[in-house]
Amino acid sequence: MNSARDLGYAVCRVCHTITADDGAACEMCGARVHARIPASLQRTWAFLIAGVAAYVPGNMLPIMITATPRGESPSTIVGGVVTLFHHGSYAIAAVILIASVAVPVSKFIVIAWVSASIRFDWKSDEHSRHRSHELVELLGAWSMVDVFVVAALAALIQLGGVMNVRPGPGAEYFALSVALTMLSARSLDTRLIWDAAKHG
Amino acid sequence: MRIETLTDAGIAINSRYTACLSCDLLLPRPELRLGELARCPRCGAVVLTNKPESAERTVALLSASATAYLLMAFYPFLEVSSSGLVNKISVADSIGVLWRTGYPVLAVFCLLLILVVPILRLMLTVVVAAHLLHRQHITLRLRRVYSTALRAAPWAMTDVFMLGVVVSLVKIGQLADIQLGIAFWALLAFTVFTALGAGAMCADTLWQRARLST
Repeated sequence: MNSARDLGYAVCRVCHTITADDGAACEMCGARVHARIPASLQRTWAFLIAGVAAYVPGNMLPIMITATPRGESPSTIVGGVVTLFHHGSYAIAAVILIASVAVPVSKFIVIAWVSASIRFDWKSDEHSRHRSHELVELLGAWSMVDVFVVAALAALIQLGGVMNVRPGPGAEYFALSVALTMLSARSLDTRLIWDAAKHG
Repeated sequence: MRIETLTDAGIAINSRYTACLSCDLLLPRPELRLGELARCPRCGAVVLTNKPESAERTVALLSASATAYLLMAFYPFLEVSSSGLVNKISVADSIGVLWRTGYPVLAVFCLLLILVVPILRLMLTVVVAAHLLHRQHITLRLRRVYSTALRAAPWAMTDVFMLGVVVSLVKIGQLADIQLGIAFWALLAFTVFTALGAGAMCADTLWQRARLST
């Protein structure tokens, strides 16, 4: 089976248009066309490492601070999940746990695994790597949910002296981490998975 | 140099071949009947689609979304009352609070994801679909507009915000009395209609038309 690149063509990833001009602007839609995303793995790793780095303070620092007459109580993402669990809100606890912990962490693992497998030519099934990466790209944005929850709660709970909620510094790092890992996933060119397959 | 029409070489190869975006397999261009879609024989990704009444449905659904957007952006979506205090908030308030409490960068980022990118993407798509309905010739400018809309899509996060609102509702349900405002239902409508509208739009119809009309 022949890939377009082997025959001297590059395909626009926005509009499918085939061209012989690698690196030029697509004559159909104007997007830049590359047979393979340039320095795909380098970009992927750079965004991934930055994303993991931002994820650490995103989880360690409080994402939300609740102020009542009795004092201030900061809560981290995981802390919030534990509180919800104690209150018996299992479904919501699960949503937050999946969106803020399970999805980002599996994203880190999948991106690292797929890009390492390309770089070191590991023999593993192309379909499973391809599908894992697809899933990661699809779910990536949903990790933002906790940041939006904080924004909604902070706007809602402004009840004078009774109770006030404001965002914590963790929210900013967490949002940054989500954006960086989305960029990382998009930088990884899935066509490289199939290139490696052919030579193996 | 700006290329307004496609080069002959480009038309020649593209009328006979297409390639999988996910694995780069070069394929003879399949002839699709209305409603059919072609998958890549190697990796299984969708290669081409031919959606029925794509432009009509897209314009209809996205016009509904645009109406919902106006209600969503400017009306309160929740009203909380606790110990005699009442607080109404709109989507803009929940972004504004980030700004006021010392997170301007996060506020701008959320503004882009929740309000700016979704409406831009919607408007660009409607413009393109409306052209597809009424005009034969698809200009390079229009093709660029649609290309931009497609590339912006992953950053439109109204659906994620919707989930966030539902989660926060459940979180404070025990603390206070909550009433859903009109913007809550508008947000729901916007999310649903936008998803359906974006799904109804057939990009390949547009590119194919552009190819044939030059």
